[in-house]
Amino acid sequence: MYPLWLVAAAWWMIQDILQVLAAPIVVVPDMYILMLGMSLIEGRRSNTSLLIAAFVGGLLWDARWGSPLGFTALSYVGSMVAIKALWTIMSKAARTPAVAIILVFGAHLCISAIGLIFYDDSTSLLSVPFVVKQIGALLLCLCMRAHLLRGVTD
Amino acid sequence: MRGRKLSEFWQLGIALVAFSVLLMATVGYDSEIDLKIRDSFYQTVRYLELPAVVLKDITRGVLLISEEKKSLLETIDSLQRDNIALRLQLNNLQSLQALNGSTPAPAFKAGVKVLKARIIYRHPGWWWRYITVDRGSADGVKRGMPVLSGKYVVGRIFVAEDRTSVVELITSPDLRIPVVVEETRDIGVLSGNGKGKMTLSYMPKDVPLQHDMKVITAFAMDNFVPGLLVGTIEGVQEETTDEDDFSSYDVKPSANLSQLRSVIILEVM
Repeated sequence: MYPLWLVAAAWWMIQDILQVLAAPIVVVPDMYILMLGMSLIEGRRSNTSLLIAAFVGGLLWDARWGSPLGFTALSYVGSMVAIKALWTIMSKAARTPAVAIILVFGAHLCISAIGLIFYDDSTSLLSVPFVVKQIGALLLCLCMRAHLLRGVTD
Repeated sequence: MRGRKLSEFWQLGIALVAFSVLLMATVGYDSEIDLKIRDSFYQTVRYLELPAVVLKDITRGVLLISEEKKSLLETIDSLQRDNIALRLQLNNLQSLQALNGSTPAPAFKAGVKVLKARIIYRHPGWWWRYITVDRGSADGVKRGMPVLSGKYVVGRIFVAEDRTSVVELITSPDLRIPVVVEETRDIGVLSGNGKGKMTLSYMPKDVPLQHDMKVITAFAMDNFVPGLLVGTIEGVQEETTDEDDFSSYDVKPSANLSQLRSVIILEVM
């Protein structure tokens, strides 16, 4: 298993590079938080390290892509806490791969929706990119489920 | 043991949420420290992003620009520069004519250098207000310099950092530009509505403006040179009351602000 900082840096850079390639036509999914969310559910890494990685990654994303400093960090940390809370209160029988995908994708959907609600004048502008972003996130969740959750929740 | 780890997780989560909120509240958007942080971070990360930028440029080049098109674009670029220079001179002449033999206005010091810049980010929340470009004070960019897309005004430099600059768009409600209606020579003030359009204020009621009349920049404001095309009249605003002596008009930006990928910064000397 690779160290978390290396995995996090790689995912952050991939998301950043895809955003450079796709901007300003499409908004790329927050694959960084999808990866952290899946890792949190997978439970092989330290939860607190994942939380710190979410905060740092969000902060760097704000610094690079022009959101108010702390906004994405807050969204990422908030979604990690929400995922953990929901996953913890679930019974073991309910912790299926499908639920894991719904949980992580749901957190992603909330992060994106909060962004749109917060910047309401861009709602109409980003309606198509928003859907594209969510479809991308869902596909990514399915791929990650196949990789990260193999043999853990099956 | 497991309970303690879970407890640590919640404590850290709450602390990080609180810290993020505190950061947002204290730093603020587009504040001096915020811009410094973003500029410094961009300087670091841009080398890592270079392959993506190159790949994007190559793909666009391969897909869109054949040799003939490239040649045509260069010709258009050169003509646009000539057009800008001519417009500036024309406006100067018209100003002199308007003075009708009184003290002539100082001649415009011809000498406009252009600097091409790529948009590196445009935040959805400030879509019609700000863009950030990859040129900064190290490239000679200064606050107030006009920013164009082709021959049309896009905005002006709001803040120039070392390697990046924030451009305030003409559709920003905070930017007010003195303008002239080309056909009538009426002078007014243009401001954005923050939603992709602009409002032209203080137009006399006795000379109604027609649809598609051109709006150009008026006399110099900071480095904002006169004679640059800004937009066209769309129609009179309904809310203007009969008691007012002046009308306000909706103005559509001539530049396609929805499809901006690169801009030209005018280095007016």
